[in-house]
Amino acid sequence: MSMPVYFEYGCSVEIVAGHDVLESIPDILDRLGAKRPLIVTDKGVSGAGLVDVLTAAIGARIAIGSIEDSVPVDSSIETVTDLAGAYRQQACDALIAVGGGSVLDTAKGINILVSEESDDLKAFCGSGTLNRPLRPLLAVPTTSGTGSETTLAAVIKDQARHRKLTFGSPFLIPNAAVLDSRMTLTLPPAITAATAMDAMTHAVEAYTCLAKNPLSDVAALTAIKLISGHLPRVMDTPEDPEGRLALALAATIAGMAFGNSLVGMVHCIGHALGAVCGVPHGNCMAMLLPYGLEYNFHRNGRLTADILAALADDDTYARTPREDRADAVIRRIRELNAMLHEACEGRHPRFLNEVRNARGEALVPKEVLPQIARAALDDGMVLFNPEDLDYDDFLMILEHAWDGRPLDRSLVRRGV
Amino acid sequence: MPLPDRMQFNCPVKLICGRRALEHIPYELATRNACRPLLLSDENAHRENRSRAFVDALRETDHTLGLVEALPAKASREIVSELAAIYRDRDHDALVVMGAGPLMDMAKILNLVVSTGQDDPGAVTSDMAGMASRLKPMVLIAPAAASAYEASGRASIHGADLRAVGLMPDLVCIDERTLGAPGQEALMATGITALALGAETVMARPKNPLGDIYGVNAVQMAVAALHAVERLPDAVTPRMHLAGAAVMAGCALADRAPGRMERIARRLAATGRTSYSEALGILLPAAADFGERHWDWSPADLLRALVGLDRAASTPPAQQAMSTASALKTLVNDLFCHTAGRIPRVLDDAGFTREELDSVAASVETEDRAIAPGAIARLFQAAWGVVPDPARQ
Repeated sequence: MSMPVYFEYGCSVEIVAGHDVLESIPDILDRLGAKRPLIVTDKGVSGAGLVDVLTAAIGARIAIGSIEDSVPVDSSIETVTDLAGAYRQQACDALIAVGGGSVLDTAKGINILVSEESDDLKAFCGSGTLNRPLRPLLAVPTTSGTGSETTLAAVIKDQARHRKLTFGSPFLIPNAAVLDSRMTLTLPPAITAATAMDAMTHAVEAYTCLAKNPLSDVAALTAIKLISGHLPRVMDTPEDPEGRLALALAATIAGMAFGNSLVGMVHCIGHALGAVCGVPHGNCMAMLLPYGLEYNFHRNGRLTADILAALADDDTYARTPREDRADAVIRRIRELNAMLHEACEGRHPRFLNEVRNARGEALVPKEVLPQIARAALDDGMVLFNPEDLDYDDFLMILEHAWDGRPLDRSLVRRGV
Repeated sequence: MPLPDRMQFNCPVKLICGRRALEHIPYELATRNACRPLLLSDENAHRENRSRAFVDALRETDHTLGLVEALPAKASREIVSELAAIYRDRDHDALVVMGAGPLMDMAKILNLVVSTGQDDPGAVTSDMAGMASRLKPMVLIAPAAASAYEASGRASIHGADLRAVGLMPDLVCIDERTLGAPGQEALMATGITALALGAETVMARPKNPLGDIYGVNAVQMAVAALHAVERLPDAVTPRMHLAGAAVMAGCALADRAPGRMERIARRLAATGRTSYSEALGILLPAAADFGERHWDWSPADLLRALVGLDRAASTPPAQQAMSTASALKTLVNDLFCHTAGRIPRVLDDAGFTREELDSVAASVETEDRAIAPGAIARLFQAAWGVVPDPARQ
């Protein structure tokens, strides 16, 4: 086996996963010396009754300081500051974030303010600004995709200046991630599909891009196997707790993989597509993943081929001629997207020209592709992509993804 | 992949591995608000002047380093107390450990003492519940020859066996300049121990995909190193693999209770007829086979880590468990051959008589009531070199 010249790997989050693990939260808080948590969530989560599930599981054993469900879609400094006030007013001593990426980022921001006894979140922007442990923070994900419960970063919007602030520190990593199948049982099919493909893309790019390492490799293949083995079943039987738990665990493990080995061009374009057109991140990942593998084929086709055993099974891998395995992976991902498209009655787009908003209007008009290509150029993850990309390359890929045509690999220019 | 109803895993260790990894330690300490590390080294590290590379790595930084070198393998309570006094008097804020096995055990206890403010190491070891959840930063600079427990949440000192995630180091550094130059036997013992501990993690139930990430890596790295057994003492890559395998095995164990094979190997080693690593090497192939039949183990899950994706995928599912046991037997037999018989393949090679094994088997069964009477005796027969009688399985 080969080892990179240099690599780092770590994930200090305690992970507790199962069908009834919310009940262990009081014990975890007790171990961390906390007695009175603030629950941070959003209206979607509370409206779906998930906070009730949580409070029923822990309410008898712990005094909940307050439940705050005002987190917006994009976390903001104002929200963080308001909720830090609620934390102090209710004399809380820990945070439980129940939700997706925005809720967790908000909780991380609150934790900075209450631990550092500050009201100026911007003073802690960037990395290296925190140098001591913060208050206990538990993450209870309600989607199975972002993996943000394992990461050391938070992105919070400065609305006054119309920009996003990034915070990075090992002290921002939650103390524990509690993955309970009950929290994702009611996730709608289109969100289940998009978030699972988000996790799938984290894992595939972690395995095939330049900053891979032996630990992230095993994590990535484990996540791919869990997703490919359980996603079709969950789409068919959404209330399947085994499948829901497997997808939640896969998302967390994929988060561990890409958190340590980063990602590549699929995320570059996906970030740009989200910023320019507002396409949900998971949809971007699902549509673009086959193109990322096709574009990098001449560089990492051997690694893409490895994925076949996890994506299908050992027997399929062994029966597929060596030279066809990478193509088989790309074909299977397209087939998975097609299955999800059908299972979601068209709400899981396969191509950019299929992306619609709630009113049925096209979200990605062809004229904006140059703008997306320009924005993709600024994404730092391009450094970890196996093949170089410039504006023309991004545009060429976007045009293929818009039409839904497989990439014409003869158009890929090979860098040195 | 069947999942259990409940899983838990916690490995706070950050690994930094590769070229000039030592130079990253000051930054990592700074992010943990530490800049006055105390370096502890054992006699081997001191003899090889390994601390020099770390001192050089800190030269361009504003860190202040204290050194206590050539510490004895078995640390007394007095030594722990003296080191705690040095740590406090010199205002140190982190430990950096350059050594293996007993030194790391001692460092874990020392970290408890200096972090909790407790003066008496005995009081700390008897009151784990009172242990602070966040200890002072601790860094392990991993050697190529190790016990494989260094990165784990376990420590044995003064007759006490402790287990807690908080005992695990915050950071483990693997750098070719500090691997050391141990002999082939010490390196092979490391590889066999890491292989066995990683393998038990992967095969045993309940399944835990999170621990398996480390377990699979321990096995892959150990196998890669053990296949390079002729080059072990001299070549850098196999020694990097061994250091990595030992760290991965420790991380896979985390604060978990000792596994069944681990406990049986300890009993065998306690007879004085074989070392712990040799006992693990002898037991592993037999346990893979026996565990599948009697302990709900899944040896098939280990095959890919042992033989690679292509060979594992081409093995029919029904043959994968058998192929795992076979691959393990082949590996142990090869080690026997490469070392001209110094690494035993079976209990017979280690000089055990079948009669004396009965008393060891009985003591194991007394300790673990979940094991069916007579089961360990049958495992020992297989590990002794007897071809199993299908009628008795």
